[in-house]
Amino acid sequence: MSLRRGLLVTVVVAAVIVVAAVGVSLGGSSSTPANTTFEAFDTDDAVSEPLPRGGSVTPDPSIGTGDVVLIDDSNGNRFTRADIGPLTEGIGRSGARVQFHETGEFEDALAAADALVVVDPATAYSKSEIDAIDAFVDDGGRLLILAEPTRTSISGGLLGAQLTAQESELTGLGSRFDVQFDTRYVYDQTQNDGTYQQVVAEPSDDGALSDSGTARLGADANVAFSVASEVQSTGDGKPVLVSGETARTAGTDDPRRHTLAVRDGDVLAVGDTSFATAGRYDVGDNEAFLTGIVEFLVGADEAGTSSTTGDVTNTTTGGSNATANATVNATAGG
Amino acid sequence: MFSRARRAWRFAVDSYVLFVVLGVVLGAALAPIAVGLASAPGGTVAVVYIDGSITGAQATSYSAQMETARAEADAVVVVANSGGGSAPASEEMYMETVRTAEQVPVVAAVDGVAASGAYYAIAPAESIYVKPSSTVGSVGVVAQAPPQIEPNDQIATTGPNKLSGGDRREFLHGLATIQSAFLGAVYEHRADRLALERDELADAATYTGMAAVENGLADAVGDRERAVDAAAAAAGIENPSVKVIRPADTRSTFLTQSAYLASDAPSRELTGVDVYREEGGGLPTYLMVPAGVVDAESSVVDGEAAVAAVNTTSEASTEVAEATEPSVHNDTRSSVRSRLGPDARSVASVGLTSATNLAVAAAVGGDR
Repeated sequence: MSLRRGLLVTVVVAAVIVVAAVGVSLGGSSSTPANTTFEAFDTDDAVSEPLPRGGSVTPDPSIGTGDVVLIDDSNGNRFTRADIGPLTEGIGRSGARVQFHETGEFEDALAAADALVVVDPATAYSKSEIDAIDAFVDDGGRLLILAEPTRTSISGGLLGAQLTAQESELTGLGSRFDVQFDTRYVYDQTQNDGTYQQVVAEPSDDGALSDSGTARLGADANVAFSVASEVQSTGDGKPVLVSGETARTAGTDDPRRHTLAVRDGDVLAVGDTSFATAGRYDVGDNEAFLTGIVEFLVGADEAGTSSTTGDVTNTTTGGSNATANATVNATAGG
Repeated sequence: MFSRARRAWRFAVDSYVLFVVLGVVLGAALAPIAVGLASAPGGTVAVVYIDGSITGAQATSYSAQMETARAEADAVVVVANSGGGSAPASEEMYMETVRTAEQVPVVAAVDGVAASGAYYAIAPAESIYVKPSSTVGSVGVVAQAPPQIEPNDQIATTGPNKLSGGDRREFLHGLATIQSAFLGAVYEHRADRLALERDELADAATYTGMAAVENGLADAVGDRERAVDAAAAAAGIENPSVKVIRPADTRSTFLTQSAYLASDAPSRELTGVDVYREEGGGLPTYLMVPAGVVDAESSVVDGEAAVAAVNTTSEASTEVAEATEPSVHNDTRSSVRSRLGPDARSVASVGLTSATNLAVAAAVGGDR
């Protein structure tokens, strides 16, 4: 009988151990992780896809034949010849001539030009210069203004890097033509080509660039800017390009469409310069927009032209096309 | 009839069947009691720390601590006090938290700071407790663009991007991809609680603890004790024992003073941005660090508005580099930008670290 009692105790203890062990192994934690999948890292969603690149600035040949497009380089304008290569190349393809104004009388230079390009000036235009430009536009000249928001340039040095605030000095010139340039940048966390400052704009419903330019862009065009500012007309100007509805001005929390390019008659203003540079002119539909700009400059949406072939010159004296030492080899994409 | 039953009983007793059956039944009944006694006093909550700047070494340490926690505890509390750091190291810690949370409840408690990479690491937690003065958020990435070097007479390469890694636009898309993964991770774990739109979160602002509770980046105001209670409750245990898992021989380095001061790490040092100074290499260093790494001191030019900047002389920069004691050199992105008003035309100097320059550039919109 004692043997049986011992057996009973042994079986009970064994059963407790076995069941408890099984219970622990089933219900307890384990340091061996299963094959974890990280749902958040879905490459289909997360990988940022750049806008496609390709194309060139190709206005209709000869539409600008005989025209002179003056690019001002006398007001601390922040560009290099390489920067605006795609623009000057496009102007050349239209048959028009490009002329840079570096020194001399501004009024004289304008007298020989059919269009004026102002790029991101570091110094403000004087009253006499603005008067001259005003008269130029009144006489049918075309004016293109490419602006930039205020930004900070950083340069290194032995005593530390230098921070310099830069802004486009366009308040006076813009106000003469009822155009306001915001000094803050526009950003868009949703509709962009990379990060938030690479805002992607689309044609406005007003189609204000020109009939041919609007047609070339198409309704679904994507023009990629980089650190752009808003430009608005306080007169009768119409938006040419607008941002998406999710864009905001730096320092504000109000998402809305921003006007990034506006046209008021013979004046076209754009809140960015980088879209036209060699590194970006062929991103998205930038080249189509740039082509439209060339057509605007040579008055392709109006009648008239004449005869000589396009080339590039420099002026060091008022208005003469004498010096041709700065020919722009506008190798697109270079 | 009676004699037949008596015979059956006799057979059961003689053949031991009765004892085996009784043993199994009794054993099964007593087993749960035995399991309970084995894990007395009611289960274990492990406490794991994220202290100071996030580096690969800290990520490795964190993974080891989490592995120990998974093996020895029923729930884990992650106490965060960090402004983030290396992006890949932060991602590593995030993945470790996800792995742990699949097996045991993970709850986070924020002491001073859980910003950027540190917030990334605790985002998978079941709940996040903060203090009113905690700093949370900064969901974003920062990196200095690699220099655009072209092959020249001295250097030959086999491809146009061999020196630069790609053009600036490609670099920005890479940055955006890393940002998108970060945002996706936060939404993966907190979409049901976030009051912030994706665009707002992408702005990478930091928030106080109270504001974070309101916008869903955190769940409630509470301290470590509350986090332990929440973790225990999530694991279904009462009166847990608390097991602190913290390597004794680790020296924590801090990028931000707020995290440094709030930390109780046994060995700690405030290094500032020196840790992130780019000493070499052409590859972009992706960082997940918050605003506040910019040293500020203004100078005014032309009598106009001031612009924020860093230490203005090389002496000041040296002082920061050699400092072992806490020093104040913080400024926020918003304050930098607010002082760079629309009409500001000012010049100021920046400390010599490229990471600092980079932070300034990002702060004032110099990125292009």
